[in-house]
Amino acid sequence: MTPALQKPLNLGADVVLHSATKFLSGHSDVVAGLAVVKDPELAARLGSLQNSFGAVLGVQDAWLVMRGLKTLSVRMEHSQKGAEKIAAYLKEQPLVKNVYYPGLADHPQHAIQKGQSLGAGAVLSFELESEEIFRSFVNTVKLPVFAVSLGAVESILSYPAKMSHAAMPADERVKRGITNSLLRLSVGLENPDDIIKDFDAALVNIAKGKQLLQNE
Amino acid sequence: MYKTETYLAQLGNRSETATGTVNPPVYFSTAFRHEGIGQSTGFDYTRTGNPTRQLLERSIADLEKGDQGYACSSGMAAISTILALFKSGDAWIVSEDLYGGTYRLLEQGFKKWGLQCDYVNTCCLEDIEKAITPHTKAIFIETPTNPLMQQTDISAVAALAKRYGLLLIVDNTFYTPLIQQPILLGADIVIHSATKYLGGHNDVLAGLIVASGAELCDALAFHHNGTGAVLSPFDSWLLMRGMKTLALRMERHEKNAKILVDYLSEHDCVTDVLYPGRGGMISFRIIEEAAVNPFLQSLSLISFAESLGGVESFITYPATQTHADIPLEVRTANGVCNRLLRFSVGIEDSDDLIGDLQQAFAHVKREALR
Repeated sequence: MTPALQKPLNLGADVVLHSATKFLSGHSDVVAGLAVVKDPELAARLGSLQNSFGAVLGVQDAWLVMRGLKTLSVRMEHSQKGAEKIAAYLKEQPLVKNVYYPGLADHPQHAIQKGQSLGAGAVLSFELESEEIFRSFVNTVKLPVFAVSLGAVESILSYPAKMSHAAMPADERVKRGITNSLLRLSVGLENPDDIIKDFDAALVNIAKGKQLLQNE
Repeated sequence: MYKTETYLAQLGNRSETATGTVNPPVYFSTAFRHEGIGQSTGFDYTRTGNPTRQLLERSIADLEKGDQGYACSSGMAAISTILALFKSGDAWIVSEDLYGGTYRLLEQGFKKWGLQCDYVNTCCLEDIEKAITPHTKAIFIETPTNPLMQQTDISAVAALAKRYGLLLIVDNTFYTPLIQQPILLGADIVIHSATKYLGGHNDVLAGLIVASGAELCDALAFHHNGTGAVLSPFDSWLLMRGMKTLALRMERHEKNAKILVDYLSEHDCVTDVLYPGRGGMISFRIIEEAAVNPFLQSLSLISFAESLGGVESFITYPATQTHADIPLEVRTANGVCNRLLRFSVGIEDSDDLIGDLQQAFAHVKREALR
């Protein structure tokens, strides 16, 4: 969500964490993590641990994150608008079983999101009807990068089952709803209509194939 | 493999074939495209593997004659990564004369998670053997030690470690693989604060691990990726840039250090000079504690700063800098007294270094030792 949309310390959290590799830097060019606290005593303890463990950020990378931060609010605004548009589009597609995006009015925690943050962010997940449809979809879409990670200028399509959540046992994963036909989309700075066009071409193509099979 | 000097000079050349760059490119990309499900170029996410970092990791593994290298965001991050191999209830035997930051990490960091450390004079093999308990899982040594320059017989400790089934970890920061290759002598893991001689220019913070043996390498790779204290591509590149001149620098560091050892040994303001015979690090004790600050303040060429191994000469005061986190009585008992100074001899002209020391000692004699 980034502080552009949500400030957990103001809501009572003690520690806020970021993979700054993602939206904060936003350009797929730096790996970084950030921790923020507001209690001075906790801050001193973390400072001492940061020094003694030594897993600190390099200076060039610190600069690179700050360079990315300068455009955070405009990037977030654009990507979020895109995410809203794409989520609404996916919601209407018969081959899409589920769309998970807290900005959708029927999302179970939509009200919580509205109450505590300025927007629903730029990441959404969607589940295709079957693993077979999922496979042809992934093989047909051209625009989003099929890769791990998120929060970049480029839209990134990830496959949680085999990427971010590959380390989780399959039954645990499915129990959490991360099925083999779930995709995660991190919306970038492209014009969202181009992504919708790309997705639509793939889905129409799959639907046609399905139709042909049924007619045979 | 070529001789070390040749390997260093050629570091990164022929690593890229698309354009034929002589100097290796920096791959900033955090993510790598997959052509399809289950397809990968071998690179997926940069924390797990990055082409620039991998080149550095391959190089240090070759130089240290190990199987695999791991580049970390600092020397302390390298040790933290290794510590992840152990569990609550395990114990380490550690050189009692030790970099203060390592001591702090072990005592203030990992002790509370149940890792026990027994500090012994690792120069004495019998003392090490006496300290081994059923909980002991590893021996961690610096040789030469920081700052007292004591030497431990790596082969002998390696034989002992093998006999008891312990991992031997050697901090090779002071000597670098040019002077000493602990894995060839039987060590399992070598670590470096690569910020020091390997980088050599006081412009990059980095740590390196080299391990030997497939099982150990896999376990370290798991924690290196899982903990994520990895070195950035730019810093990996900067470190390699420094390593290309390591052989030349080390030759000059050592040449200068030997000249300065002779000079300091003869000086009446100096009571002891500690030099292990190789490399560019010297420690010495000044005649009175009261002389320390005036001496440091009158240096005009040599910098009073914390760190070592750079092209510029540094003098460090362990009592308040590198070893400040070791309790006074422990520190003093080990010989890191308030008169001790540590000298990282740079690659300047040795006459200029002597000139600077000479005028600083003269000032001390005039002002502080009257």
